[in-house]
Amino acid sequence: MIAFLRWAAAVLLLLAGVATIVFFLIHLIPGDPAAAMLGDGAAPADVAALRHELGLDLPVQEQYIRWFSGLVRGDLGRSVLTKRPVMGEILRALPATITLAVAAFLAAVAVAVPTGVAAALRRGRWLDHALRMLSLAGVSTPNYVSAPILVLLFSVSLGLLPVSGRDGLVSLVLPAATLGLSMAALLSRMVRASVVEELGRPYFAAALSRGEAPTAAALRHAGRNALPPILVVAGLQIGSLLTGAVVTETIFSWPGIGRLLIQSIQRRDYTVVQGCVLFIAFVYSVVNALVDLLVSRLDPRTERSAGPRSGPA
Amino acid sequence: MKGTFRGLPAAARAAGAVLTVALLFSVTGAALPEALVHHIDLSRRLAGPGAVGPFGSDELGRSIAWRLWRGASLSLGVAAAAVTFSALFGSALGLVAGERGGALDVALRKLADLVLAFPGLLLAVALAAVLGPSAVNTVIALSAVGWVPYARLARTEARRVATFDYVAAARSAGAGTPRLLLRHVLPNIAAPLVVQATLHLAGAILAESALSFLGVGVPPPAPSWGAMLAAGRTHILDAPHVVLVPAAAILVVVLATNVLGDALVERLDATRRS
Repeated sequence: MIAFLRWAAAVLLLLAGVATIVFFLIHLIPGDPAAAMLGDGAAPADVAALRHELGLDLPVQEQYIRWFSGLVRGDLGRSVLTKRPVMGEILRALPATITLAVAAFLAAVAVAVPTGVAAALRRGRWLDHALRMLSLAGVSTPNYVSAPILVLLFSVSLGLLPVSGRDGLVSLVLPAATLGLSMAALLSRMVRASVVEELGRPYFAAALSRGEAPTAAALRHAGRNALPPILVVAGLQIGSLLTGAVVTETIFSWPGIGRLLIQSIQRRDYTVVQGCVLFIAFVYSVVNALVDLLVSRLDPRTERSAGPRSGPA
Repeated sequence: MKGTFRGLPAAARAAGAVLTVALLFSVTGAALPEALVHHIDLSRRLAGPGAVGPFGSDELGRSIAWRLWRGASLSLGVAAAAVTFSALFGSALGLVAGERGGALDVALRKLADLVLAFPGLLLAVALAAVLGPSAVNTVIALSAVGWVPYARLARTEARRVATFDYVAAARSAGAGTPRLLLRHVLPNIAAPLVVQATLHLAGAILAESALSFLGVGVPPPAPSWGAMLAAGRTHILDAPHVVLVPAAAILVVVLATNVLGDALVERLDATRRS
């Protein structure tokens, strides 16, 4: 219980730090943020009105208190452009991002587990080498490169799938494949390493000597033991899915939080930018901390960590 | 440190050769005449490879070959600057924090945790967005995020090295902290820092392209590779070469950097074990 309270305190402290950084973002805008948001040629009266509306005419410490008290109530301010609450805009975009992330995650696992197990069973053979090269290529290919190639292949050459937009299940295929690709490549290597380790254990040799077929034995025995570390890595990858979503959603005009962020940057709607950045960082930090907590619960050998685990460096 | 690149596997040496060529293009690209890079000729709009130069022309009829060359100096230059600043800033912070310990060390760790609480490129995108699109701001945004691994590495290694006898000997011989860190600790941790920088370079090239692609990096008409990709995206259907050429350039350089970095990591691990 005490460990849990310490964990919760550390998470809250981290979130407060994240919120502080996001608060100061708007003050990094060169010159007058209000003028920057309205663009060139805005009337001085409008700029002053916006400055007042955003509280930018208050002392910094009061702005800071306003920001935090709003945050506690789930109030992220209003969009400069549409005047609607930022939280509402984010919640409206959230389902699209969740759909995309879940689809990409499932696709990555569906590709990574069979290829990883196959590579482990054929260790050192050509299949293993081929999968290694494929995975290296997958990791080195950024979303904005793989997306046009996939579009060329499946939308243009084969005419199977729509190029962009969100219209039914077919339109999900290319964005999810783009987003899941690098994760699948990484995860496949993890699965391979994890299964290879389990194949070396005595129980596997025992299963083989009982006359079980290697593949069946690997799936029945090694799979169960190899799974927890794979799930942890997969869980930590959810964070990179979130950033990947920013690029992927922009490419495919997928109406999620990532596209909302980039559109708001282009429209200089900085309150929405702040909200999106804060929201994504919060989700990422909480997911990481939860995975960390889960690991320490599942495996008593792991040292109970006092704080949330930081993401991959 | 000496001979870091000697005796590497053939793939890594090939990767090194690719990077050397890229570096040559990058250095010379800055000197290309503006007229070549920005010359607009709408009659040659979206001409295919072979029709205009080896790589065709873009949506404004500009030669993709010249733009790619100039882009090498932009994309690789921004990435290299970001890696350099991150490495200098991060390792200096880490060295001092590791040597001093105490509150400074704790503060540095908290700050690093904070930066890492933002997934991947998110903080860099946000910083670049509020600072405004420019090459300098891209370097600032990437460095503000990139220093963390160096600081962690330098801190850990500084703590480890600080327990060695020769450091105690140097200290008792009257060496001050700056001299101790620079002359005795830094040379011992230079190799892992160089390896980290090599791996970081691949990430920085990708990050620069991503930022330019999202419109918060190097602004048009400057031909950063990511910006070329973004601009050509609408022509993926009628003129795929506009996208595929910069994409291939990014892929080749990043893959070469990763291959070289992996070989250096393996070499470093082998030295450590022996």
